Amino acid sequence: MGPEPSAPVPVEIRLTGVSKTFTGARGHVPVLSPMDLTVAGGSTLALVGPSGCGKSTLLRIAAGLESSDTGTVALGGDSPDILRARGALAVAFQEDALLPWRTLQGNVALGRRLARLPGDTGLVRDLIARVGLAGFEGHRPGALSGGMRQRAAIARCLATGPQVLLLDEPFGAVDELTRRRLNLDLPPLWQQTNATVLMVTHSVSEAVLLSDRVVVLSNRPASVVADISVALDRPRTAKMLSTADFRSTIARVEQALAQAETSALAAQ
Amino acid sequence: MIALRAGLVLAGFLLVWEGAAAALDGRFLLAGPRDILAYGQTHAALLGRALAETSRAAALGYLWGNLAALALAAIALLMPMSERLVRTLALVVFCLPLVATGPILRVLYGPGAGPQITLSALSVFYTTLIPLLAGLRATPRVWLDLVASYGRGRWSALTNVRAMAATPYLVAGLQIAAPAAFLGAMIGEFTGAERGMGVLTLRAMRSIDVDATWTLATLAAAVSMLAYAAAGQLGRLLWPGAPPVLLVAPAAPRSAPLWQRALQPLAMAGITLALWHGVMAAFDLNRFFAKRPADVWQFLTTREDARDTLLSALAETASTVGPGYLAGLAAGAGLAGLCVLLPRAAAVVLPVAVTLRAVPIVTTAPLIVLAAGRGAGGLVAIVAVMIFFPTLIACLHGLQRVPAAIVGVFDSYAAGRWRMLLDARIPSALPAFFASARMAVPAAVLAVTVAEWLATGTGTGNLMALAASTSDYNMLWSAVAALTLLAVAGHALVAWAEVAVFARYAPEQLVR
Repeated sequence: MGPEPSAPVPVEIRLTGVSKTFTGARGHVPVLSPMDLTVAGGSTLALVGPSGCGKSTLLRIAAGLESSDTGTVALGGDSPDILRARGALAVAFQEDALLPWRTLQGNVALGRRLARLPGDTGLVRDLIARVGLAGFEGHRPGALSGGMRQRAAIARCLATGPQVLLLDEPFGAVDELTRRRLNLDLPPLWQQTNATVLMVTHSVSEAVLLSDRVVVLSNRPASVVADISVALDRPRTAKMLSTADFRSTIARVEQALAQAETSALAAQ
Repeated sequence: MIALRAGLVLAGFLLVWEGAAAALDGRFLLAGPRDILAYGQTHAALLGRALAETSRAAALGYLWGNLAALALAAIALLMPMSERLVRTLALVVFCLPLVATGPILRVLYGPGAGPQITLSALSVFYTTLIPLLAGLRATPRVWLDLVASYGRGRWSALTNVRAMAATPYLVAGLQIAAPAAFLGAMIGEFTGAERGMGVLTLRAMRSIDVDATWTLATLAAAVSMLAYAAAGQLGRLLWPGAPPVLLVAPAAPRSAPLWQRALQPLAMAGITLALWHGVMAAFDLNRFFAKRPADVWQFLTTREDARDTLLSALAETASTVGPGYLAGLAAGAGLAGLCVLLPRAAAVVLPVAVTLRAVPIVTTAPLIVLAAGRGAGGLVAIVAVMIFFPTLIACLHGLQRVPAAIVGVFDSYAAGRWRMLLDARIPSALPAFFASARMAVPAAVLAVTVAEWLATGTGTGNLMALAASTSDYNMLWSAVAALTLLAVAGHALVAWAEVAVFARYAPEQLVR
């Protein structure tokens, strides 16, 4: 049985020498160069990089959903498989992956069911309220907007009190205003739980606003171009968006991204 | 409003029918609604008993056949290695010609409802298994990732995600199976049952009792339609609200080495023959009627006259199956396209199609042959009628499953219905079309052999009936083996075409 959703022990994510090459009809496509990456327990790290550079592959390897060709993944000393089997890992996918035949409450409760945790209606309803969806418990996903569905998907992730939270562009499919709103509303929920978060995003401002470190990846095969610390206090607020610290961090990330793309173009 | 419209359509249909019966009186074997009503009133008790008997056998066969399909699909999914074997064995069993298996089952079971229930189950399990497997395969990748992200395996994915995601496909299969179960039970009764609709039908056809034949056909059609509607209603209960759109995530096709692909059919043939022999040996079945593969081989290699008889009958059968099959597929797919282009047409086409399909082939065969002649034309028409309905339902299902976002893109360019049909609906219906085209192969063989047996007295159907009545079990089993081989070969040809088309239009569907 996994831990209850109150403050789990922080778990460090450590990827060592991880690489990946896909083999398809058109031959071998190297996606990740051998790479080391560490996310301190309880912190949030954002991966940014050009489209198709292998960010999501790296995240799937960290989740144990994809195997790496070389290297190891250790989550607090355990393999991803062990954490998944304990229900201590949760993934928010690019698509919300809500099951259309289950109600909102049923979808949030599904996280606990899949993690073999006892049903807890009180906790599920509380989470639904905390992601701002109170009153929609009985609705099916088809009746919810894109933003509401993403909130529900995050609530499903949090329902198991995960020690490791992997976010694969969870707000990529919603509009900018909704994304900004979700960026401010949702992170405090997982930060309260001490979960270690590895996220992939295309939005530089989202990466800076949500994380403690931003790692910029090069074009395929991906390698680390820059590792930038974010020196903003927690909790992050809307006011911070206009501070000099926030802007200067964004500028550094964008500069690193531009370098990554220029070097990729030169390589082509 | 809908009830009123349905009532008007029904009333119009009955009027046209009555008018046709009156106009053709004496020249064509057609009974009108009033004749049928009069016959029904006179023989109500007899018909009631027969209907109850056949319905019971059909319901049991439907239950067992569909349970078998569910179990086989679960095995194939939980043990992917076994899927090819499950599919092949299921196909071989489904391809067994009912005309021949009926008499063999009667000898095995003796008196009672055994053959009816078994034939009914045999007629439905495959038409449920194939859409179910397609549905289980069409589950979006991200849902499976979600299950995997919690460290859960195939069983959890099956119970939490795949089972519900496959429900619309299962319902489509259950609907198609409902009329087939009734037909299977009736053919089972032809083999010497004491009571039932099949017994009455055989009696009515032999004495050319037109009113009785049409009353029985109408009753069978009504029951089949009710069963069809009930299966649809069950689907709506299982999945409340509108059916969701299931997008299939693309994945890399998996290719096996050439030697493996070449060896597989041989291995499957070997396993099938071994099972055939093994089951008979295990149950110690009498060698007089339960022929083993070796007996059939010896019969065909030593008796040249018998081999020639079988080959010429097979050639005759094959020459009508092909055109009828293509005509039925074209009619089914064409009508489905028409229903999408002209939604109002669907209100007329669908009830007529269900009716045509629900009228058991055993009663329509002689009538169609009377109308279209004893030659190849009649047989081609029978095959086409038999298979166009499953194709229509499957294609309609596929054509209507275009994701809302894609419909939106087409609407945003004010693209017409034709453009949408050609560029969005037809590609999205291809998997359903091919699933029905594969299923139609054994159905076509069944239709043509039944018609040859009951109406034209030609081809393999007649040969099998003769062999059964003279207890020539060597010839009967040889015909069963040859027809099964023909159906499996036809099925393989369609599967090859499917792979060729999907490789171009929908590579994700190739991933098992």
